Amino acid sequence: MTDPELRDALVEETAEQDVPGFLKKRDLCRGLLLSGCGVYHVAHYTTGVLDFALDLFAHPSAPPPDDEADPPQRREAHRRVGAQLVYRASELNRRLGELHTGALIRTVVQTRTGLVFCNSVVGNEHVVGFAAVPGADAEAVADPSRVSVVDQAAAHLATDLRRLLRQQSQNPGGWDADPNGEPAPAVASADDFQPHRTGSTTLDGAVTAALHPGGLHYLSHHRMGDQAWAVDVLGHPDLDQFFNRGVTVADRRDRYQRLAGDLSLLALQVGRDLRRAVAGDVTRLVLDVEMGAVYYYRLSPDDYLVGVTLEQDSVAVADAEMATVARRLSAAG
Amino acid sequence: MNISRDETTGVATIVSFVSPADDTGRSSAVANVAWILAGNGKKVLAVDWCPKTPRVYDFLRPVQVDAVAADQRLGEELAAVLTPATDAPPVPPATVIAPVAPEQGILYRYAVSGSTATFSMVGLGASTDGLPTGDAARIRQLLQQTDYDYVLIDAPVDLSAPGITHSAVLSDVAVVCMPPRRLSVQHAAGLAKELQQRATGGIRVLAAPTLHEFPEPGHGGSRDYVRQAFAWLLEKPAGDAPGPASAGIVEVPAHNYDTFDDVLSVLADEPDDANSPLTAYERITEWITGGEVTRAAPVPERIRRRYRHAVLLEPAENLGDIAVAYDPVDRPWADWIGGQLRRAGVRSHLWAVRPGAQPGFGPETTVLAVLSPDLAETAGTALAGLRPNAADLSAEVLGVLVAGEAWREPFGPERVVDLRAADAVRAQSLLLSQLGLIAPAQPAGDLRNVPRFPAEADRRVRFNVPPRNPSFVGRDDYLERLRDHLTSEDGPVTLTGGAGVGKSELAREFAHRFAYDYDVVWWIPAQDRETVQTGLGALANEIKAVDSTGAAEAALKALAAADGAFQRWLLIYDNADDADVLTGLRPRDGAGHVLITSRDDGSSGLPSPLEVAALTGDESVAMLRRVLGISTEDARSIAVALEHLPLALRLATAWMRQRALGLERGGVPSLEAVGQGVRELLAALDGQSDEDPGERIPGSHTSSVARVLRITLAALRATPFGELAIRLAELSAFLSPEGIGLPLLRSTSMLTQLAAASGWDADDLLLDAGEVDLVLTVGARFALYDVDWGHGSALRMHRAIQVLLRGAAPEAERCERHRQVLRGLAGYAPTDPEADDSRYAAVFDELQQHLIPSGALESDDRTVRHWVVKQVRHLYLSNDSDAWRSALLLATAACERWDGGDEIDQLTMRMFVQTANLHRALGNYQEALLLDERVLSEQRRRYGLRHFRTLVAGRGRGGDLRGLGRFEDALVEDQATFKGFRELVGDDHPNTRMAVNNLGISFLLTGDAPEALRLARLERDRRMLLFGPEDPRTWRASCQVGTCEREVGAYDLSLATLREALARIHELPTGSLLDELRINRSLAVTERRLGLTIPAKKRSTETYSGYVKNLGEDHPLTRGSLLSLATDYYRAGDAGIAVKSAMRCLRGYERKLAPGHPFTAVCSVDLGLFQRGMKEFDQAVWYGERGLRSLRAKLGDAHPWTLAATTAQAGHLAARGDVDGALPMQEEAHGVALRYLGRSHPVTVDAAANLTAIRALRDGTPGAALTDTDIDVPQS
Repeated sequence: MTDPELRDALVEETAEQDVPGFLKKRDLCRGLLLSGCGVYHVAHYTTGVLDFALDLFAHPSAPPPDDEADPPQRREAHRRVGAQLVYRASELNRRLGELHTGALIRTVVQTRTGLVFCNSVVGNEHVVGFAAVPGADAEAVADPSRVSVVDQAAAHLATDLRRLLRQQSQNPGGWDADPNGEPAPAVASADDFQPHRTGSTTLDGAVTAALHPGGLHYLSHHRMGDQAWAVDVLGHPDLDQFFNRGVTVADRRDRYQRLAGDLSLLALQVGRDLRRAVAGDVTRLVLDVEMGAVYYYRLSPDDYLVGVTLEQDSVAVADAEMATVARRLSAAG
Repeated sequence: MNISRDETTGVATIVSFVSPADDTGRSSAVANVAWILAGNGKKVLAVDWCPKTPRVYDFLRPVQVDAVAADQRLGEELAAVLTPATDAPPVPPATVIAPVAPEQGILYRYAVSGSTATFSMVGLGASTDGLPTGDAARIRQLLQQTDYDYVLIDAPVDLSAPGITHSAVLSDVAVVCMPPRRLSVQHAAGLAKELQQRATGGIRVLAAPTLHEFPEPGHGGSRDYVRQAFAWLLEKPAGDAPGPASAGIVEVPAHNYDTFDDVLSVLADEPDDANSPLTAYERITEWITGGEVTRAAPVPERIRRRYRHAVLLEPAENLGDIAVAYDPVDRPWADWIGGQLRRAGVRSHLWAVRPGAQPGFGPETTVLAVLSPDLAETAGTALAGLRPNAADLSAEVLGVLVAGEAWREPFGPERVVDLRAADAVRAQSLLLSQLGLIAPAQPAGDLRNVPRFPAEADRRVRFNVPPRNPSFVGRDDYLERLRDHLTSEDGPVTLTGGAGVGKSELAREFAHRFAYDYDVVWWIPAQDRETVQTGLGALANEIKAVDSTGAAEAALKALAAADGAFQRWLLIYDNADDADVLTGLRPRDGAGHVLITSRDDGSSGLPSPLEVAALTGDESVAMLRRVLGISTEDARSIAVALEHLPLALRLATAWMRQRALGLERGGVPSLEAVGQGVRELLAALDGQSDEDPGERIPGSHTSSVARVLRITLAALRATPFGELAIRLAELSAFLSPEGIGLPLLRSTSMLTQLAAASGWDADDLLLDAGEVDLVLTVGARFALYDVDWGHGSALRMHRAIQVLLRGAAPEAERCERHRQVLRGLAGYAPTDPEADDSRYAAVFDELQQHLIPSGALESDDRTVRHWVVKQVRHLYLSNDSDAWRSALLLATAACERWDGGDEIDQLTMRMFVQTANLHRALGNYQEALLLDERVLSEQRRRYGLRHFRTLVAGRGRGGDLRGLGRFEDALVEDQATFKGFRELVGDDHPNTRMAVNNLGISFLLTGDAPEALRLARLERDRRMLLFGPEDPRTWRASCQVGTCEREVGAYDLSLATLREALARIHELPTGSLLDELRINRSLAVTERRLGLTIPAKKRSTETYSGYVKNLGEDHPLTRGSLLSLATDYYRAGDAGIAVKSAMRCLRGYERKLAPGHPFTAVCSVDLGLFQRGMKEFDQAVWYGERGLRSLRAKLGDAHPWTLAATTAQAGHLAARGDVDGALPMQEEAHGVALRYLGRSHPVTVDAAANLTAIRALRDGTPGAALTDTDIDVPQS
């Protein structure tokens, strides 16, 4: 059931090169907007160049502009910001290649007021969407559950777009975890498994509890630009299948540590990129790759937490666990 | 001249002139006696040993002709004792006004005016104190071994005892001079006595008292007193030995010349005046020579008058005029002589001698004739024809022998000034001394107007005129009039006249003939503006003129500069048929000359038209005779038949020569062959008298050229390779008349077209491609064109012949040839990627010449259009704004012509992109953007995103947006371009690298320095791999790394990176100055950030002046560097200068950049800081606010520049006392910086520090100072 007001408010724009292939893709994007999930701007890009864009700026559900920008100006700003996000995603994709966890399929950026997702469809095609985050102003730490509807809708859009090309779903966000699929591997000897630690801080039990093969696999806390501590279960026997002779546990741990250190800069950069469209600094960042995801949660201006899961089906679960740990640390911090 | 010498002695008589006091007329006596002796055939050496003025040297200066090293003439030992070298270094004396003195070690030679006799002098320089010491006997021995008859020594006054002994031993004769004072006479007498006593071998002594008045014999007490004082001398028995008297007295009258000059009596005094100093000197000479020489050689009255005028004894009106007679070929010499005469204060006329022309000057006039065979032909070998009045044999006619003229006629040597071996200085002396004239000691007035010495060797003239035509004849009238016009400062002159009449030929001859008188002679083909600009650009290159406005403008400015290195220049604009072509491309000022040739009939307003007519009858006959050796009668017949038109005559000459050769080969005797050729030609010309008006060349009234050309072509058809030569000529008729490079004509592409035009098989022709040179030769023999086989390596075809050849062919054939030549040119053009490679620049330069003449811009042929696109790109890559401007005109015209409206084809789109490039390079970003966007959307629509051309257009759009200050839009475009190129051609391709570079700049501009740094490092590492450390490109990338490192706050890293880059690029032989400047500029900013104020300021100063010198004031890089320099002034405590410089900068930005451009805003922000430094707080707040508002609107509030500007603004407010306004502003800025830039970003650090300072102000706690960090404008 589509809200007729939404339909009336919808504005569509196409780039100069309107190929027939856009038609169905645009239909899918339009469907997302008209579903009323909260997304108010969607744009499709090829190699960072806009193909088409749809928006609901004229609808009351869209957030009011920060300044006196009129809809055409906002449209342009969103399209530009979207393109910049695509560039960041592409460069990140190259950067994440060294983790051997597959391509970056989904990037989520959450700020105090808004959520932006950038899903890779195939090759150089990306779809970027903007949504408002309802009533989260008071919280210091991002809450993924507030935007899970948008997240899921975005993931469906990406999957649908792939289906158009007869491609399998990459299960972005892990929402499509098949409960009837292969059962989770039996817990081998979780009890006597000791997580690997870096840094000397004694950890809250909740932190270590969040680390398990079916959830988060790696956590790193950074303060004032330095790693305060890190803890992981990468060596857990249940995760053995994620490693091989080319990618060892220690190797991956090193790489995650380096990546975690770099994420503060990325969050700053992306925050500045988005600023013309979405106010507020980045509180949550999800880099969803083919195998799992990397999470960034801001705790305070000088404090952030990085988490990793290797299990694609657990991406949403791990995200929720990240939020829990982050809230705890923030409250304690 | 036969010198009479006393065979019995065979040695020099050494005469010392001594005196006990100053002011005795002693030096004057030496000078005059030397002259009298020399004038009577004696070989004389004067020695100027008395440093008191006036010296012998002073008296003789006007007659000096030469100065040579003394040791060459006297031998080393004698030279060393006569003019000993000083120990002091040869620096100017410390005293400000030093007396003029002879130069140490130099032997001066003097002319006895009116004769060929000369004499010499050596002397002591001004810096030498004391007399030459040494053994007098040895000096005497050495002097006597020379071949002088007399050595006259001017001894210093106040001789000490050893000095007297020295003189006594040295001399044969002593002349004791004394002033008319009682005491001095007594001293003189004592001196004379001493000399006589100390002379070992005997000495003759003459007393020469100066007397105030010269009383009648038998009267006057002073005379009696002298006689009494020297009575002992005269009483000595004198008649013991035969020969001259051993003692005597000669009274000398005091000089009473009413002038301040040192007067040489022999030149100034009337002969036969018994009471004159001259008579006294004659008597002294008579006594010295024992009666052998009694009179001075007579000085011609004219010379005496000129001399008396020169030493200001006589007014100018008594001076006769001097006329310089010359054959026009020798005009340079006549100019030079005239200039010298003028400087010496004589009225002179130039007189080009022509048959039958009568001189137009008075009977008193002296005539100086520049001797040449041509002159002799007109004026007779005795030059009788040059006398003002043939009957007046006393009239003075002097010949001047000059370098380069073969004069073998007899001519009295006393009447010749021989300048053949002289350099400029000596020639001047030789000329003037012969005439009794004196050159001003110091050059006076504007030397630019003094004609140069024509035979000066080793003078470098910047010269690009085509080679001289060896068969050029006549045209004297025109050359004279041109020279007269240009030297009279009447401004430019235009040679006009019909085609083939020889205008360019005339200009060329003029340039060669008078090149010696210029610093620069530049030949500028002027058929269109582009060509003129290219010509001026080449000139700018030659004279190293640089200006931001463009090469042509730079060249013109350099010429116009009053204090420039090139004061005397000649610009020749050849073939300027349209006056508009030269608008703004002619020098406006300067002391140079402009000569224009044009077919224009005077209607288009070219300056001072001088119409050139056909040759005169005599000239054409002379030309034909010279080159063919035919009879005057034959020559005249042909000349008349061809209406004396030089071009027709040239063709005819070539035909006859070829015909005669052909006949000779057939066995006809040589003399007959020529005659037969003449007859055949006349018959052939006669046979086609039915004049076809269609064969006239535009701008010509006759068909002579067409008629003879028809005969030439007929002859060629019967000659081996002739048919090919005609085809080649037909193709060449569509190319530049200024010359077609032989590499182009010999190229596969052109030869293929030549084969097509001739009906040959291209493969056959290419197989024997060497034969094209035979084709070239055949055509040149028939004068269809000239071939320069030398450096120029080009074929040149006269425009008139081009026009005729194009007109002669039927329409279809003409179109076919035109098409073929265009295809040949297009095929010669390098390929697209090659167009970006500087190694192919020469090929494009060659093609550039033919772009307009070939009509390529009007062609619809795709291959031709493709070439035009590449050609425009080549111009764009030239880095010369003048070339850009003219290329833009071409490109815009092509765009309009090619633009099919909705359906634009690929070549048109490419032309759009090139046009946009030119716009962007010239700063017209908006125009560039419009074009680029049109192409980009068309490309994307038709060819998709990943098409090569799409990406090129996108790259262009990015640049346009950056130029407009739309950094965020630019960033998005540059990101897409970068990704596209990377996917398409990979990481290492030059296009990808260029895209990375642009993207890095965009990130820096949008304030994401970390990403810019990441890209810069990637790029540097890649270049290190691709090019290695020996390539400046690697270090250029390193400069960007260092700059980005600074922007993220890594100052120490930045310092190290930039220092290394600077050192490395400095060492590289291929490193360019601009690279060094760029690194230096960035390094200065890093140093400044690190607090190294003094080195930073020094570096900025150097950088700024380097940019000014190399790019001009108005270049963006110069402007940015000025702002940086202003900041360094501010840091060094000179806020006043900083404010002034920043103001200048701001005005420049406002003038050049789009409204609201961030650079303008940054400049305003910096200016606010400097104003705060001046305690002008209101001004600071005003400028700061202005900049801040603009930055916030354009770049957003999270851009580092906006945040830096906010911090600055909060500082201004706080400094003004408005802490309450400052605090929330700074708190907000700090918060934003923290959220979007991070805690360690320099802008955040600054904001935090300023926040602390403002809080301290609020709380009244002393401590932290307000921050005042500037913003640096990066390269966009």
